[in-house]
Amino acid sequence: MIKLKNLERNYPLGKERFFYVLRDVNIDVEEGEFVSIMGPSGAGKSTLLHILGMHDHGWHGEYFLGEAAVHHLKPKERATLRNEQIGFVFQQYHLLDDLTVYENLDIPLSYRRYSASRRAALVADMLDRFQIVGKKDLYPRQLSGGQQQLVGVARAIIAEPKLLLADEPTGNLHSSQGEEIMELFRKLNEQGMTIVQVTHSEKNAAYGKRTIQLRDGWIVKEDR
Amino acid sequence: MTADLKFALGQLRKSPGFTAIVVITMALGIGGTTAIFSVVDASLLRPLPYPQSARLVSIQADLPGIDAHDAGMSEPEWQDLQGSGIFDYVSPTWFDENNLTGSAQPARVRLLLVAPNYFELLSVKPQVGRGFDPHDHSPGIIPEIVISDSLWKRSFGGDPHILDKTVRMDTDLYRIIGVMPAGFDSPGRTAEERNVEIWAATSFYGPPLPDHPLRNRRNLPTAIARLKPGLTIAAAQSRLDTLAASLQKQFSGDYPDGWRVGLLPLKERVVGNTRQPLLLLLAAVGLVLLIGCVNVANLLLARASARAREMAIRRALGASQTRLMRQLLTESLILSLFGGCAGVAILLLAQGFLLQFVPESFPRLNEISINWSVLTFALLMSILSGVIFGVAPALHAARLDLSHALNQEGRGSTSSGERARTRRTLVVIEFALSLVLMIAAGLLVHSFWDLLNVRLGFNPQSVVSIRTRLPYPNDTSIDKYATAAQEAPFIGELLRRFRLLPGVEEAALGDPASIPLDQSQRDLNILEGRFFLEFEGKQQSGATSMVERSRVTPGYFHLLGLSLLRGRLFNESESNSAPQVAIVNEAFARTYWPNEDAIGKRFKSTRANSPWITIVGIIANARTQSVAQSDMPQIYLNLYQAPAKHLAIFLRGRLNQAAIPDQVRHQVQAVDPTLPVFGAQTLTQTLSDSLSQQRFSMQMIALFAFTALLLAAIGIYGVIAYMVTERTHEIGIRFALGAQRQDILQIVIGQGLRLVLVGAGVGLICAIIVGQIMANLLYGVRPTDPLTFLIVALLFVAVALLGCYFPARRAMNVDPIVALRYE
Repeated sequence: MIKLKNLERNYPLGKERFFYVLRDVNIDVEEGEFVSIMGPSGAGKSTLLHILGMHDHGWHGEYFLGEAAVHHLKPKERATLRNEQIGFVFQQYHLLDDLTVYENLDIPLSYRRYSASRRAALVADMLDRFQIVGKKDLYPRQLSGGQQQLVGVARAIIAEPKLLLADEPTGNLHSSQGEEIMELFRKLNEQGMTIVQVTHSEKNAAYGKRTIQLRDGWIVKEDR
Repeated sequence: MTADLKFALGQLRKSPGFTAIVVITMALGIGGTTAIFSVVDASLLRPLPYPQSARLVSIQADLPGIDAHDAGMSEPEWQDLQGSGIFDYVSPTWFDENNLTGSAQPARVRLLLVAPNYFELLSVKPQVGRGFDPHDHSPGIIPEIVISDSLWKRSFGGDPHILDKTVRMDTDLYRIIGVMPAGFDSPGRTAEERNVEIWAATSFYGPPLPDHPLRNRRNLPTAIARLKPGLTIAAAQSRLDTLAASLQKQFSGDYPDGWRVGLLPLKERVVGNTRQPLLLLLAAVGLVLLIGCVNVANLLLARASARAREMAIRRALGASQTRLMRQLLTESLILSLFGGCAGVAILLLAQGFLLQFVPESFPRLNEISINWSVLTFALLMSILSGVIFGVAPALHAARLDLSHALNQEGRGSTSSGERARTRRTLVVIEFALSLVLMIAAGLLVHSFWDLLNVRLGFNPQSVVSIRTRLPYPNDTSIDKYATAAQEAPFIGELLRRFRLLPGVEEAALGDPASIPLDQSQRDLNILEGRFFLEFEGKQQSGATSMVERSRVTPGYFHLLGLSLLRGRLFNESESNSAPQVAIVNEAFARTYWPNEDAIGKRFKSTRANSPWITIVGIIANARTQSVAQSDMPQIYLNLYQAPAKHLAIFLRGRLNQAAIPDQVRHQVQAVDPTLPVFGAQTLTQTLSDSLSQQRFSMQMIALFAFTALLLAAIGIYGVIAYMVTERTHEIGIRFALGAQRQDILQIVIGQGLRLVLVGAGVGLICAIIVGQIMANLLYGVRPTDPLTFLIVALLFVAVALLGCYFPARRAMNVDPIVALRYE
């Protein structure tokens, strides 16, 4: 599903001097896989995830998502592809403070120009599936961290993406809440969703079928 | 307090950009308000520069039966008022022009004919010599004059031995008995009347005036008076009403049309109709200052967000709410005082330049100055502004949520939502105020445009008018222009000579009332241009009427392009011996013979022994009296039959503007070397001058409205830009969730548009109210003119959206990666 060839990401430091965040990254992720990316701080894990999520465009190399050659796409085409295929879960949830749970779930659908009736049906379904119907009118600040991340995951998958990217999804949660989220990921993966997560936790990495180790921007190890 | 001051100055030094923006905004607002206040102060607030000027009044007589206002006064009426016990002194004032002769070049001087008590009435004394003897009741014009400081210096080189020197005015000799101080102005309505150069005194009887003046011969244009001490204007008016009723009863034959004598504070007479436009200007510039304050308040609120942590730490260290408020208010006051100082400094530097824009006809123009009361006003405005724009940020700082502000490391706090609401409210207020100003300006511009494009009914293009005046000797027996028969050859010769001048295609003569739209000779027009009439076959009471009357030569109508509708124009051959004829305009014909043909109808002056005058022609109405009015009844008499002493020369053609005054002077003085030639002006300039006050109001309001619009645009830019900064993180999330650039544009513009529309709604309601207040300043435009409202509202929304667009563009370019790491 994902194919990265010789992917590099750098930032200019001065005249013809660059700081490399990712170097010569080559990764293949099959459809339905659950991959964990690990590594110390500054290894380039989150950068890699944001490149996969098409939030970051300043990279070099080749990136194929399914049949699409992302490196050849224009920004608008990348945005369309992202909206069709990818969901993203953030470590800090990034729910919109001024919107209710219901409205937060509705937002990605509105950006995908879904009809109002379809949006209502999908949101209702998601609230039911995540058992948060009773919280639909609450604002993020009225929820616990675990509940907020639950909404974050629901929001990420509501548009039925094929690929779920998660950037340290349990980083701000205590262990029981973290387990709940990881169990949710496992179920989603079992239902066929491809997942790539960044984590510091060996335990959480173990939920995946494969772990990629990054250090100083290089892939140093791959465990299956 | 000293610590607060030091800290505040330090804070302002630390943000020079912010300080500069606030100081410039306040300098513009306070400077502009102070500039207009200095005009209001000089014109409306400051008492007239005469001792106990509150007791000075203008006396104005109306004849309600014929709807005649300011109809003048007769000598017997003056004597009645003088002896009424209501006034210390009453003096008719009669503005005239005179010919100062006896030197190389005869000059025209502005003369005020007054009662001998005039200077006692005003309680002023000459700087050199003396005034008139108030008890001198000798007949005729007293052969003594008082001259102005400017005439003394200009014509006599400031000669210290000026007293008892004689000058010749017309053919008569006058002895100079005094020189008025520099800066002394007569309390007149027009600039001409205020800048009098010579005062002469008379008791208004005896040659050249009638020996036995008649009560119903109101030949004195107006009068001023000093009330008895302790008498209010209302009490005086009440006693005057009783006196007027008694006189009407006693002399009922002289008052067929009623008689009402009104008292008006003399200052009102001088200020005239400039009060409302001036107050409108002050209100407009006040709004600009208020909008500036709102802008600064918004800036300070934004700054307060950035300083929330600093304030929280101060509170945590023990500072009280009052102390924090005091500190912030100190900063605000320092900013506004700096702004005020800068505004006044700019005003002092630009004073001369700015005064050029004030029309010359403006009352008390020479009294406009930056004096202590103006400086006090600037100081008060500075303090008030500082409090207005400082209070909201200070209150917010005082209500800070301590724990949250400390935890958020300066970014936001629980009160940041409230602060945002306050900022949005301020922007709505700012928009509403700006829209009110813009609509007021739009209405004035629309009104002025209509005035400029109105069909005048005459053609002012390529026409020059030049003035001269024939002598009016006190001894009428030596007057060589006493009758029409004596004056006719002079007129004929002048016209013959003018037609030979290079470029002249047509020439005509008339009296000053025949100069279209010339208001500078107001009193002369009252005196010579108004005509009390009675009509043949209408003998019943109320059959008299007062209309505007001009005397012109036959070529006048063609020269000005006035269209003849019926009948005929004057003939050159119609002399004094022929029956008198008149041409009237359509308004006159319709007013007095609504269902008949006016041709052949006869009327005459109410003066004794006046001949019947037959209407021989009817011309189309023209806006010769006022651009705003086309249907004022108008009579034209033949100058060959009805002579005039004050003459206007009209020349049409391809004229050399620079050379024509000298060419005309040469020709006039070739016929009579004692005549002055003055006042050369193109009719297009006269037309332009007649609109000068409307133009001034319009230009000023438009300038203020433009400033307000600019400030409002900056205001919305500031609010939206700040909103984008605060929401960068959120915008990043939205991008990450799939938002397109246009989605973000929609959010940002939508937020701005909501504020704009709420502001516009409030502003439109206020503008409807303001439009009603300024209704009588408008011509041809309704105060709720939908076109003006629509165009201004659209322009306003467009500019506001532009103000939103730039921050929106920034929002569209937010990099989600950067935004998501923002925290």
